[in-house]
Amino acid sequence: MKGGAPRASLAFAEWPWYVAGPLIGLFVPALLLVGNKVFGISSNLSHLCAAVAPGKLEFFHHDWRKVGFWNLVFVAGVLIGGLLAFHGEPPQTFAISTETRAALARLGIHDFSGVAPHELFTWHALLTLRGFVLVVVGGFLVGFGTAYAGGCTSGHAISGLANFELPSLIAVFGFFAGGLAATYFILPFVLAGYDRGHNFRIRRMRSGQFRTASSEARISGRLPFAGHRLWICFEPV
Amino acid sequence: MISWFRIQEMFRFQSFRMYGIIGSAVVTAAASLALIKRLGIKSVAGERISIPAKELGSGIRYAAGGTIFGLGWALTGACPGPLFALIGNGVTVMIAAVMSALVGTWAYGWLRPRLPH
Repeated sequence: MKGGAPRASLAFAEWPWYVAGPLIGLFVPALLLVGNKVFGISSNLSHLCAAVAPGKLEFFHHDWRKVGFWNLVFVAGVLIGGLLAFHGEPPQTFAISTETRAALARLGIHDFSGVAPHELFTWHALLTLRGFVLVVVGGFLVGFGTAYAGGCTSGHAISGLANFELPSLIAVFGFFAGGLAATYFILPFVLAGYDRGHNFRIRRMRSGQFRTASSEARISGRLPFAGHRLWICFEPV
Repeated sequence: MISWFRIQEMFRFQSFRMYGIIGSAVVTAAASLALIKRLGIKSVAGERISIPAKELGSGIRYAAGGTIFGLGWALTGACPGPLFALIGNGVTVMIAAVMSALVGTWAYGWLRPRLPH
């Protein structure tokens, strides 16, 4: 296998942005020229729904074989591409900016190897509230949001903006409004106490009780609900 | 590009990389579209190439739907394409994220008649 390894690392190393970006951009004309289809990935979700469980819902009563077949083939390709990259190389560590490392370290994330934080994105972690929020709630929001907005990063941010469409510009502003809100308000809350092995639960507490609560409980971002009597606390689980 | 950490870098404005990728993708796509229109290039099947314009309506679906997707994007660290790439990369728990995204899409289809568009 001499000579195999360097080729693998060339193919699967992270490409510089000025190579990756234009290549992604070229999908737009390529798809139009080959099949007169507009590049957009998220519609595969509604095609899958249409294929599996259309129910009586009008939204899923389209000919997914005709409209969405290329789309399903495309995501199958993406999945296989990921598989090849994965088997070509041991999990690689990307050079993450030092500021981001510092910010994430404050949230308790210290392992920057691989493509996602190891302890958060495992089947086992699904059973914790934070794993559930990141994977299941996050996934639900991706599916609901892209269907509602009629597109995702590819359909709106790339195809739509390249075609100078106002709806896509509004959608992209939305992407960032949501992304910033999740990054600065939801993640710190969900991950608080993470490196101490704490998870959060909802507990009713009076303000007085809260003041005398253990320091573990107090590391919570104290979010008052229901007349300042319901607090979300972080406790060992 | 498929890394959760990269998406965090982007939303914290601490790396140019994702902006470079998306920006250069848009410029490349826009230039190719302009070329296709200018030269009147037809598709392989000989059809006139047309991009159906998105209907603006009240714009609410784009603002609200976009924001909801943005929340999910930052939490999962993946948009629909990378969601599948991550499964291939061995982060198999993303199968649960895809299932959940399907439930989310289905929920939209169900609520659609009642949502502002």
